[in-house]
Amino acid sequence: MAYIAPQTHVTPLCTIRRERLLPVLGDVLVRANQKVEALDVVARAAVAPHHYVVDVGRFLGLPASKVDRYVTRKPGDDVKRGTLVAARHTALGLQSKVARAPGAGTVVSTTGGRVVIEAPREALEVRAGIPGVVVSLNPGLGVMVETAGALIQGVWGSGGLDFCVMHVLAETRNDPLRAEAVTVSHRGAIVIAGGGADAEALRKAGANRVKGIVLGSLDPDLVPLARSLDCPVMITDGFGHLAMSAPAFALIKSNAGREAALDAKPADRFEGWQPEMVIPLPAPSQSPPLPPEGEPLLPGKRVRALRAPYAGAVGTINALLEEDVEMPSGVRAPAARVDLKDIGPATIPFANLEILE
Amino acid sequence: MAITPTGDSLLAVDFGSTTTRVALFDVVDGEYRFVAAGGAPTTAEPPYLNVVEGLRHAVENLRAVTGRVLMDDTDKVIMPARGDGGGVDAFVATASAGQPLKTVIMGLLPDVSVESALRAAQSTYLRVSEVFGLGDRRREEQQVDAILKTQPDLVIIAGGTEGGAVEAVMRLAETVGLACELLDERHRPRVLFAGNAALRDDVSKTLKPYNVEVHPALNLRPSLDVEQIDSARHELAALYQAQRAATIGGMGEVALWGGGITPTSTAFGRLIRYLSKSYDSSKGALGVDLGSAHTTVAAAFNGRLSLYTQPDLGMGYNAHNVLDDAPIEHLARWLPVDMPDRAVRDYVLNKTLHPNTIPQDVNELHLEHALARQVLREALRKARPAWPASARSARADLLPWFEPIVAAGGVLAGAPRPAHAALVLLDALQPTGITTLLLDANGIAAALGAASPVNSLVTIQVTDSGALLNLGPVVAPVGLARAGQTVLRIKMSYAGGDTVNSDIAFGSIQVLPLSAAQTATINLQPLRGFDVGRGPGRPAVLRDVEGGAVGLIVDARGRPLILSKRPDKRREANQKWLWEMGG
Repeated sequence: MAYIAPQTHVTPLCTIRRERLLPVLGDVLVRANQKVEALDVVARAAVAPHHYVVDVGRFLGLPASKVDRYVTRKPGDDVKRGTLVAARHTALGLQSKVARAPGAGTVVSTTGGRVVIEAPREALEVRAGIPGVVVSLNPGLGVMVETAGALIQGVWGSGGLDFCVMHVLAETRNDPLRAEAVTVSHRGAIVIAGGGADAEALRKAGANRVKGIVLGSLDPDLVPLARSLDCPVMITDGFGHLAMSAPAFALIKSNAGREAALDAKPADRFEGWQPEMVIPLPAPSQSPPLPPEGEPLLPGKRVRALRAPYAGAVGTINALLEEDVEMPSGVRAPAARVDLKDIGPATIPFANLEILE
Repeated sequence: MAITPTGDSLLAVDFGSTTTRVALFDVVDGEYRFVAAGGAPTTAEPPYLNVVEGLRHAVENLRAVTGRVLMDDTDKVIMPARGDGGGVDAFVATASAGQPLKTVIMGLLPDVSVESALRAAQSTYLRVSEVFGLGDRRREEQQVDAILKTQPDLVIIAGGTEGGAVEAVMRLAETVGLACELLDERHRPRVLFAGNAALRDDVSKTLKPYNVEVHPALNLRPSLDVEQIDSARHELAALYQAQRAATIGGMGEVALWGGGITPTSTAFGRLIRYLSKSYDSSKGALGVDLGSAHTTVAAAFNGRLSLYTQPDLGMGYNAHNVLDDAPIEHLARWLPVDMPDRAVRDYVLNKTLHPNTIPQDVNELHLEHALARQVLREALRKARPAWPASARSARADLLPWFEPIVAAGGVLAGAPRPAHAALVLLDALQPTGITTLLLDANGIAAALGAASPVNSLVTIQVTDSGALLNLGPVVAPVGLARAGQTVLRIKMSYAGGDTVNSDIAFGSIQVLPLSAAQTATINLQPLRGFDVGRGPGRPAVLRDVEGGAVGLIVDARGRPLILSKRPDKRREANQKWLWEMGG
C-alpha cells in the first residue's frame, strides 16, 4: 500500500500558482490576464480598527426601547468627536439631555438603544507576492497569480514578504551567515547562507537594511531577534545547527544574482502553506508542470531524512522494504532503503522521510 | 442521529491530526471482538482537503490484514455486511483533526458561570481566545472589537442562576448581537446559550436579526453551588461535529454513514466513564490520550466524568507549546542520558515541524518519552482543578485513587516495549495505591466510546476481552522513609501454586513476574505506616489478580516522585528504573 509522504519543494523549474485573498470583502484591483509585479497591490479592503458604542439610553435617561426617536444620526453619517448623535429636550425646552460621538468616524448602527460608530477605516492590502500573470479572480476577495520559476520551500518563516536580488554569502551549504560577509552593498537584497547565523550576523543584516534572509537553520534562541528584523527571514531545514539541503543550496547558488520573491509568512498546515522563495525564470514555450503533490514514496524518489541519525541528509530511495523493520530505538515501522549522499545506504522509516522535489 | 445496528460487524474510524485509524470489530464465538486495525496519514489538510482519501488508505491497510473489502469503488463504506465477508453492519466515526474552534466565552461571575463555561469548553477541541465576565474592565465597544478581531466560530453565553440574573445576561447577548451585526455574514459565529433558562427565547430573539443560530443547553449553574455540565458538553460536541462537517472535505459524507462524527475526546471520555462504573466504585477511572496536536485527560468518578482537552499541547504539531509552561529542565530531567539542553530544545522544535516522525535511535526515543512525560504532567496539572473535591486520595496533593488508568496515543502505543509505556505513565501520572495500567495499543479506545450509543455490547465485550493491553497491576505505596528501608512486604501466590515473596525498599521500582497468562493472589503488608489504599499500615489482599505485559509493578519511589537535584544522579536513577522495568 502506497505511503503518502509529506513533501517540500525544491524545484528548478515549475509553474507556481498562488492565491492571494483578503480576509474580508473588499475590492480586487487588477484584471484577469494582467501582468503584476511581486509587490503590486492586487486587492484592498477597508477595515475599521475599532468602534465606539454610545449607550444612548444611559445619556438620555431612558430605557433602550424608547430612545429611537431621539437619535439624530443614521447609518452612513460621518461624525466628528463631539457631534450630537442623540438629544432629548424636556418639556418647555428648559433642559436637554444629549449624547455625543466620543470620536470621529461613520455611524454604522442605531439599533438597540445604541449608536455605533466605526473609526475611520484603514486599508488592508494584499500583494501579488510573485511577479506573474493574474490567471483568475475571486470577486471581492482576491486573485490567483501564476508564474514560472524555481521554487524553494522552507520550514519556518518570521513573516513578511519582499522581492529583490539574491546574494549567496556562503561557499558551501554548511557555512553560516557571518557578520563580516554582510556589507552595505547588500542593502536592499536577500542574503543567503547554508548554515545558521549568530546574533551579530543577524543584527548586521538588519543594520545594513537587507530585504530578506534565508538560512539552512536557526538557533531557537535567535527566533525573537529574527522576528524583530524589518525583513522576512526563512529557514529551509530546521532548528539547531543544520546545513541547508544540498539540492536547495545548489539551486539557490545556480541562480545567485537573480531576483527572488521571498514570502516568509509562517507555515500554516491548515492552509497547506510553507514559507517559500520563488525565483522567476524565463518562461519556456510550454508551461512547465505544477509541482507534484500527494505523491507516494517510490524507488527513485529524492527524499530528505527528517530525524536523527540522518537528519537533513538527502538521498534517493533504493527500495521500499516489504516487512516492518526494528530500528535501533526498538520501534518497528515500515521503512525504505535510501542511498544518502555522502553517507551511503541507510534504512529509514517511512515516517522520517519527506519527498524533496 | 443514532443508527440502530442490524448486524454484527462494526467499523470505527478516528481522524486524528496526523493519523487516520480504522478498527474492525465483529462477533467471534458469540461475542464482539476486536479483529484488526489499520492506519494512514490523515488527509484533512492540503493538498488533499478530503479525509476520505486517508480513510481509504487506512481501510486498504486493514484489508491487507483481514482480506475483507470494506469500501466500494466510489470510496463509500459498504453497509450492510455482505455474504462474502465484505462490508460492515455499522460504522462510527470520531475526529480531532482540523483547527480547534475559535471560541469566545461570555459569562457573569468569574468563579461561577465563567469557570463552568471554561470547563465545558475544555471538554472538546475549542481554543478559547477571549473570556468576558463581570470583572472585565473593558467597555462594551472594546469587547465588541475584541470579538471582531477574534472572528470566533463559537460564542458561549453563560450566566444567571435559575430565577437569577436577567439584565446582566441580556447585556451579554446584546454585545454578541452587536458584534454579529458588524461581522461579515460569512464569519458570524454559532452561539451556545447555557445560562438562565428563562432567557432562552429572549436571547434567541436578540440574535435572530443577525441570522445567528442559538443552541440552548441546560444552565451550567442552575444555582451557585450546583454545576451541570453534561448538557453543554453534549451540545458542544454537536457543534464541533457540525463545524467539521462544514469545513473539512469529506467529513459531511462520513458523518452520514455513521450518524455523526463524535469528537475523539468525547468518545474517549465515554469509555472512561463506563470503566468507572465497571471497576471498583470507591476509586475513579483515569484516561489520558496523548495526541499529536491535543492531549485529553478524562477522569470519571462513579459515572461522573470530568473531561479536559488541551487543544494546543501534544506530541507533534503542538510539541513546542510544552516549553511555554515549563523550562527545558523539566523535560530534560527525565532523560537517562546526558544531553545538552540545547539539543533537547532543538528536538522539541523540530518535532513540531515534523510531527509524523518517529524515534529511530535510542537517544531520540529517550527524548520522545521525556516529552511525553512532560506533556502528560502539564495536561494533568490543568485538568485536576475540575475534579470533585470528594475524590479519594492518600493526600490532597497526590493523584486520587484510580483504577484503571487507560493510556492512548501513538507515542505510547508505539513504544518498543510495554515497559517503556508503563514507566512513562508511572513517572508522569504518579498513581497511588493499587491500580491497573491499560494501554490502547491498537488505537481503539475512542472507537469503543463511540460505539457505545450504537451498540453498547461492542464496548462492553471488547473491553472485557482484553483488547486494551493490560500492562499489569501496579502497587504504589504512599508514605515517607529513608532510601533502602523496607516499606512493603509482598506475598504473591500464583494460581498454579507457586509463591513469590518480596521485600520492597523505599526508592525502588520492581517488577515481579505476573504475565498476562497468569493470575495470583497478592498479599500486601505495608510497613512504617505506608498506605496502599486501605489506610496507613493496613494490609490488603488482592484476589484473582490478572497479570499483564510487564508484570506486577511495585513503584516504591515515593509520592510525589522527587528526582535528584544532581543531573548525574538523576540520569543514573532514570536509567536504573528503565532497566528494572525491563525497558
